[in-house]
Parts: sequence; C-alpha cells; structure tokens
Amino acid sequence: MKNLTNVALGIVTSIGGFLDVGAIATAALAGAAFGLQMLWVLALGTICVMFLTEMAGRLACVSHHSLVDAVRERCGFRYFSFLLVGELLVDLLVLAAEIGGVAVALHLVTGIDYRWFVPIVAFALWLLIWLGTFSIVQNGASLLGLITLAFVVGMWWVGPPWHEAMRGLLPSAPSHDAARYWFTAVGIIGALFEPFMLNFYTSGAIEEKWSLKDIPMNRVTAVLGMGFGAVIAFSIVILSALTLGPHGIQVDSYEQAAFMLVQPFGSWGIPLFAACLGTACFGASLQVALNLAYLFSQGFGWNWSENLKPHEDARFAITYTLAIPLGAVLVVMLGDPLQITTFSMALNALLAPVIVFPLLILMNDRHYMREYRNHVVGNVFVSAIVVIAFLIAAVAIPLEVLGG
Amino acid sequence: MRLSIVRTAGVLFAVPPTMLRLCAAIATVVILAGCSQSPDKAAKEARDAAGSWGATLSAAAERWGSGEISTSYFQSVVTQARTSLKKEAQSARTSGGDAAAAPVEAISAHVEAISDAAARGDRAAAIQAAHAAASAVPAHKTPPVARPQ
Repeated sequence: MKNLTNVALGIVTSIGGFLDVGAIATAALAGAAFGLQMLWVLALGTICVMFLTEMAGRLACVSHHSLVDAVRERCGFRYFSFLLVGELLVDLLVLAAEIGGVAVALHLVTGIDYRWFVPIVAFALWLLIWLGTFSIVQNGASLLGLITLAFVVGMWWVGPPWHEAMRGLLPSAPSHDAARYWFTAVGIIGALFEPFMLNFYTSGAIEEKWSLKDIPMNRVTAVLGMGFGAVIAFSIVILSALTLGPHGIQVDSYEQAAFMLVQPFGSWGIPLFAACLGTACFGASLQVALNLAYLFSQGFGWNWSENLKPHEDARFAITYTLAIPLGAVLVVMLGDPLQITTFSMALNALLAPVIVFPLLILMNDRHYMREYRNHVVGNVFVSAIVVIAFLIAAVAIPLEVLGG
Repeated sequence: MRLSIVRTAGVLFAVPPTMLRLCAAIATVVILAGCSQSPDKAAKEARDAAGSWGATLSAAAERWGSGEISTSYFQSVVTQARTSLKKEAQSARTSGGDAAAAPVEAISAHVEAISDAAARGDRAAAIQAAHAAASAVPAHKTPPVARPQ
C-alpha cells in the first residue's frame, strides 16, 4: 500500500512538475504559428524524455550516484569543468526565464510592471529553499502545479479536432517560415529535456535514498508521469492552435499567450493562465536554483543536501544564495522574459549532448550499472534524437537570432 | 589518411582535417546568412508582427467590452503592443527602410486612441479603434491544420 502511494505521488508530482516556462512558451508559440503541425515534435521529445528520465533514475537506484557525481568520476575533472561552464550559463538563463515567468504571471493579474516583482519572487524563492526540505520543495511545488491541468480542461471545452490532431503526430515539413519552424522545434525539444532536470532528478533520488527496489517505481513514474505531463503540453499547443492562430494572433508576449484560456473560461481565463504560469515557473525555478547548488557541490565534493540545515552544508547554501540574485539581475537586464525563454530553451538542445552522452556511457558501464545496463533500443533512440536536435539547433539558432 | 586528433571528454575522436575545414565553412556560411536580413524579409516580418498586434488589440478590446478581461489587463495589452510595435518599427526601418516600417506605423497610429479610450473607460470607442487597427493591416491567420508545402 505504501509503495502504491509512493508511485501515485511520483506520478502526480511528475504531472504537476512537468510544465515550466519553456514548455508553456514553446507550446504556445508552436500552436499559434503552425497550428497542430508541430505535435509530432512534442511526441518525439516526450518519448525521448521518458527514456532519459528512466535512465537517470535507474543510475541513481543502482549506483547511488547523482548524474553529475558519476560524470565527474567517470569522465574526469576536465570534462566536468566543461560541463560545469555550459550548464552554469544555460541554467542561469533558464533560472532568469523562470523567475521572469513568475513575475509576468503577477503582472498579468495586477497590471504592475513585472520588473517590480522580480526581487520579491527571488527572495521568496531563496527563503523557501533556505527554510524548506527536499520533499517540501519538490512535492509541494509539483502538487500546486496540478493547476496546469486547466489547460487540459480548456482544450476539452474548446473541442479539439481529434482526427487532425492525430495527423499532426506525423512528422511534416514546415507549411511556411522554415527557419522559425525548426527554431521552434528545437525550443520544444530543449524545453522537454532540460539538462538541469536530469541531474535534479538523480539528486532527488539520492536525497530520498532510492535503491534497487525503487527501480519499478522509477520506471512507472518516468513513463506515466512524463506521459500524462506531456498531455498538458499537447493541450497548450491545441488550445493555442484553435484560439490564437485562426484569429491571426501570434505569441510575441505572454499577454497574447494568456488569451488562449479566455475562450474556454471567460473572465477566469487570464487569472487561470497567470496561476498556471506562476506556479509552474515557481516550481521549476526552485529546481533550477537547487540544481546549480547540486552541480557545484557534487562536482567539487562539498556537503550537499536540501534536507540539511544551511550551516551544515554552507557552500551548497551559498551557491543557490548567489545563483538566485544573479538570475534575477539577468531577467531585469536582458528584458523580455519570453525571448529569454525561447533562446534558453534552444540552448538547452545545444547543451543536451554534453550531458546525455556521458549518461549513455554510464548506463552501459558494468562497473556502475551491473546487470541493469541499457538495452540497445534506448541507446540508439536517445542518441539519434539528441544528435538531430543538436544539429538543428546549431543551424537554427544563428539563423533565427542573428537574422532577427 | 593523415588524421588530426581532437581530445574531448576524455574520449579520442579521430577527425580528418578536410572534415574540420568543411564544418568551419558551413558554420561561417550559416552565420553570415543569418547576419544579413534582406529588406523583403524585414518588411514581411514587420507586416506579420503588425498584423498580429492588430488582431490582438481587436480581440482584447472585444473581450474587455464584454467584461471577460479586466481593465488593468486590457491596459497591459495596449502597453505591451505599444512597446513591441515601437521596437518592431525601429528594427524594420533599419533593415528595410521606411516602407518596411509602414505597416507597423499604421497600427501604432491607432494604439494611442485605444489607450485613451481604455483610460476613459469608453469600451465602444476602444473596440472601434481596435477594429480600425486590425483592418489597417490584416493578420496572417493560421488555420489549426496548416498544410505542409
């Protein structure tokens, strides 16, 4: 019974924690600009993230190492420093985007400039991590994130064309604006397998002392949790395709994206969108800030645990204490949280091979995984998707960014 | 074949020099292609952005008129439209000249009227001005099922 409760909690928190600013922004952008045509990218990315999450969890269950810890040990400190720099830059941008997302959510309901909320959000974030434990941070934020199921309800309310949605699951070439199509595709994939998420997941597994007996639970959580979570992202694409695109509204700002819930929910639409955006981004910003602390602490061999008091792992606490204001400064300096989001999600796709290939090496290493090593299907599928996403990102990012 | 060795990630990859040169050439072409934006492309992007903001203002004014969105939210949309259109006009003018920026200016001309109507609480005037903005530059509407080319 206790196991069943744990599995249920795992699935529920995966659903609630699935969405973040990147998933909401890229799905809304895709639906408004390309209708249902990009659903296949989401489907492909979801299958890939199921594989990756299951692998990362299995690594923690079998080897009792977090991903970064194992990568540093297996690939050496030189490779770790390369990973550290890349992930530090991308995670700070993602943290800025998430803090910006919460601030924009507050702006949507109050009308006050989002920049005024940035320091308040950053302080609340820091305070919760400083005072909270891992289960409060992880489960509390994810349970609140269940409000994002409003997107699924909204989609049912609007009445999606199921047949056409199914056709959208088949890969297709862009109907127009190829550069933007592929940039958006890269953003969707980058939002699905954000590198921070893999290390955060394994660190969480270590925090919660997962062992071999947790392997089945990890598998069920990865498949069902991520699968159900992806339904929310599908709903955003469909809602956006049905309520924004046909009216000629493109998503250049969150004010435009918020309209997708006005048709199904009327006057509740904007507050609901703000609540979804705010809770999803707050939960994700907790994870990114903590992941930065995990990254440094595990890499340099410091004490680390969100369950310890800050004075017991002082350097861990100092890392997130410095990272959060840095993220806040970035969102104010760079401006336009939506652009920060789309750019950082595309960068995620560029960084993905740096973290995914060492993971694959570890998953095939007898020393770490014993008889729980990967099957060939997982290796080939994940490698193919990550390489393709990297190549598209390498071409689409300069085209989209430098070409304006 | 002479191979140059690139040491990355503690793993040795053997990469032929011709392959390295080809990669560098592709990267250069991609970056150069990305750096230059043709006037036609600038004009199209400006027209698309203008049309989208016109449609947004029109939808927002109608929703405000029917009480589905609050006054503060409607004002936020108008402010965001003004900021984005200003940025878009500057960018279009730089890349494609005044002609490219014309659709953006056409929408911007109506934004002040919408903003004034919102400040006065005059919903009918806001809807009228927003509809005028939307018809000044018709938006490119994306059907839910876009057919691949």
